Amino acid sequence: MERYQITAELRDSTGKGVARKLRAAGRVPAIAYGKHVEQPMALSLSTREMVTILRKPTGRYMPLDITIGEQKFAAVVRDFQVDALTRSLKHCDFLLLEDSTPVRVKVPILKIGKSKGEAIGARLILARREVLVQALPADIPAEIGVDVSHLETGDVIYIDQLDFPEGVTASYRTRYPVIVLKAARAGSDDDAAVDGVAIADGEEGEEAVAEDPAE
Amino acid sequence: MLAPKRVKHRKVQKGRRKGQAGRGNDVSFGDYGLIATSEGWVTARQIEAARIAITRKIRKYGRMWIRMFPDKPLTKKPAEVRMGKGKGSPEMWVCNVSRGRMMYEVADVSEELAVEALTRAAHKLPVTTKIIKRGMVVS
Repeated sequence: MERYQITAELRDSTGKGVARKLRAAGRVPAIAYGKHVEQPMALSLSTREMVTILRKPTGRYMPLDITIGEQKFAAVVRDFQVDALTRSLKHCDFLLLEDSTPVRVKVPILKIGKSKGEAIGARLILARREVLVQALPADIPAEIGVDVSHLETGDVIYIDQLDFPEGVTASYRTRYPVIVLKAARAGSDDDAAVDGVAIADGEEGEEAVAEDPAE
Repeated sequence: MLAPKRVKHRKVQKGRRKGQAGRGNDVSFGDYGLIATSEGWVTARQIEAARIAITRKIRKYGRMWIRMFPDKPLTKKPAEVRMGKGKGSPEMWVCNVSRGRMMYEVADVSEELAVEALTRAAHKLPVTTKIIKRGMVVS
């Protein structure tokens, strides 16, 4: 697969004033770092180009080429920030890659096929949308395909049961579920909803009050 | 309705609701989310009304998450009582919602159904809202 290309400029000034001026000029502040680079590099890129890459399904996962002046670096998008209200791109982090050093990157999960359980009303839940894998930059897959056609109600696929391409290993401490096939709910939640007691009474269901660290 | 099980202080001061949500502003669990674009107090009743609106729309097919919790007590004095003599008694629970706060998320439903469900929920809330998609970025 052809790598995405982006051109960046080094910036010597940092801080929120500089960053705001850059954003007003249609550029986005960024930083690139890596184990083989002495100092992190403060960069600025075209917002439009970067957003085009991030909007592509593999844009935020696959390695890309950053051209800084006359130098070309292989990098992967490590993180990016968007404005809470406008969802405009505010900042990007790049991890610079070295051909011979394995890196840990996130790779999206792709469900393949339709499970047997779904045909009889079960619900397939992607417990993880992406998994952390370790691979050489050249081996990083665009996605990890998971065949779910053999799954029946109640079946679970764990991280160690996934088929990874050669040279790619899953990176995890505890074995976690990736895909779960849950039985269909007995009935509609409408009755409980009318009473307005579904959560207050601790009803077991898919509705969950998310635990948020901000709370 | 949502309410804290136990609190350190029964009554709290009014406070201010300015600024943007620095955290809890992204689609973290589902595929689509409803964010606040103005600040306000959302009461436990409103949270529940919006939850019912979403549940009725997505039925048993989708999943939903409530990303806010009413942990602030509001007090009220009884009718026809003169001012003074201390603060009133706790009347309801509210959630302080800042601009950008993710309030509800839904998953496992089509975009059309998610938008419809979240729009119905938005009508129950005292803040202006916007529907966003997971990983949405604009230039």
